Amino acid sequence: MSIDFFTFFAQMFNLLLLLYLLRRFLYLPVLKAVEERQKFIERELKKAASSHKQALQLEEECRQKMAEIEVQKQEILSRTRSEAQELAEKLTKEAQHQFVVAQKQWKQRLQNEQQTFERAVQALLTEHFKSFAVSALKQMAGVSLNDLMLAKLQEKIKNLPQRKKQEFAAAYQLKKHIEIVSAPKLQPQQRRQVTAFLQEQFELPVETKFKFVTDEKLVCGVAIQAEDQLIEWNFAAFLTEFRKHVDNDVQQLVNKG
Amino acid sequence: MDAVSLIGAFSVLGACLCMGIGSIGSAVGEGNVAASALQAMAQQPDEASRIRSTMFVAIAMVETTALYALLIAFLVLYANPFWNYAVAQVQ
Amino acid sequence: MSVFESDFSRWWDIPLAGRQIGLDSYDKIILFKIGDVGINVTIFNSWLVIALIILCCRLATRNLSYERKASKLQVALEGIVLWLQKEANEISGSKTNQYLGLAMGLFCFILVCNILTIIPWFRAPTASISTTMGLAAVVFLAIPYFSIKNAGLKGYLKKFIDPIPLMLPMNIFSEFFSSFAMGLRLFGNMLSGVMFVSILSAFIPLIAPLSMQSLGLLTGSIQAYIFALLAVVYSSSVQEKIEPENNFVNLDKGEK
Repeated sequence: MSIDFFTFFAQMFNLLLLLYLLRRFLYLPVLKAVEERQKFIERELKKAASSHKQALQLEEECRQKMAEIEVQKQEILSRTRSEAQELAEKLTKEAQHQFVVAQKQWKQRLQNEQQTFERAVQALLTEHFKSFAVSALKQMAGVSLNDLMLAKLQEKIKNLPQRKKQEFAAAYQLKKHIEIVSAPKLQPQQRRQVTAFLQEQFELPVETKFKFVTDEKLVCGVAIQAEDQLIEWNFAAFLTEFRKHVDNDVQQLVNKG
Repeated sequence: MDAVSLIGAFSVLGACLCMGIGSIGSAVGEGNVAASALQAMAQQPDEASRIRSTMFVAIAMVETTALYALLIAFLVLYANPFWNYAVAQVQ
Repeated sequence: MSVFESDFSRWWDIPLAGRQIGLDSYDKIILFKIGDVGINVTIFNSWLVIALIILCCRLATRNLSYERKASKLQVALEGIVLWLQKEANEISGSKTNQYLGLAMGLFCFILVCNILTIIPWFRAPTASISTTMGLAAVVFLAIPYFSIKNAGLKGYLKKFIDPIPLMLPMNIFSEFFSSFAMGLRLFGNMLSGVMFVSILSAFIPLIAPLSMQSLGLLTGSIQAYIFALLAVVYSSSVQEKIEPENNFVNLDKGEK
């Protein structure tokens, strides 16, 4: 084998040329790029670390703010709750009050209606009864009934307690004027009877004046009136008594109902 | 047999024997290198790459002897000075 | 070209039927002439290889990016550069990248040469003894260069007198021989591959050589790596001596 010397030196030169070209084109730029990349990575890591720290800080701040906001929220909530409660109570009270008022009004109205109805009923009743009684009695009453009545009146006055007699007498003394009201017109005989009886019973002086009045309102009977004392025995009194009783009974019924 | 054919025959024989006997030692040596490298890699798997690199270097060094034998065989076959001289003498 | 002549009048050509392959056949094939000088296949192919390497590098480093995504070529080349840097710095023990240039030039050149043998009409420049001897000569010149750079002239010259001064001729011879062996190793591997493939293709043209060619690829890559590595090993064999600190415990005083 023989070494071709031209090729030998040519190849040596080739290799040296290659070494130089590689150095210039390949590994100086590549090594520089690798270093730059390392630096870049370090820079980015540092940036990432700092932004991480910043992020943590921000997170802390946000958490604190959130806590404060929570507290405020709770405060506001409780305040509004109390306000709402007050408002609710006020409204209910008003409603109740209004309801009570309305209830009273209705009750009042109802009562009024009741009363009017009662009165109407009573009036009707008494009217009817009165007219009925009056008509009946009128038909059945005669003059003799008056005598009977007078006799009974004398009996009653006799049976009056002493105290009352004295009171009456005192009243007579004041006015010296006695009024006798009767329903059917009294005959003069009857009048003399009555005056004599009264004088005798009450020990009146002779000069007392007696006044006789006829009043149809007392359906059948007599009422003797002095200044303010009154002795009554007539149908009207019974009617009023009757009326009172009827009133009481109707009232009791209505109340029960 | 004349000189030329004798030289030719013995060159061929010499070349064959050279290469044949020369490669025995090389093969055994390379086997030893590989075995030691494998054992070392099995014992220390972390250093496997370093061991592999060193193994290649050792194989190259060991193979050089076989290469020398190959070189001599080539020389004998293709750049044999005796053969060239004998051929020149014939012509 | 005379390569394709098959002259069977010479009986020693029969084993290489079809192709005349000698130890120096690649140097004999002259492609063209520049003036007086004939450029043969070896030199032309190595120019091609260099052009290919530099083309790849230029493509990759045109816009180097370290912030955006890098192109695949750039990533591949970065991978090769960083790997070789790691290997060279580990073997030589140096922190600066002073052996990277030599290692990378040798490695890339030999690797591309050996891999391009796949292309049918490409004759590997490293299959010619001149090329490999040229590469070895570069290493032979690089060893004193790096030794003197690192350890000074005295350190380099001390290497020859290493165990005893009587070893001087042996050391000089071993110096020459290590470079020579490197070149020879590469040449032997490449040529044997080429020769095997050509012989096989003479028997069974297209199918048989495939396995041998793949083996040739493998050995070619390994030889490239070994060449570069050995270059770094020899270049960094002479280092500055650092006096170790005296860490011994004084045993006379005793330890209490």
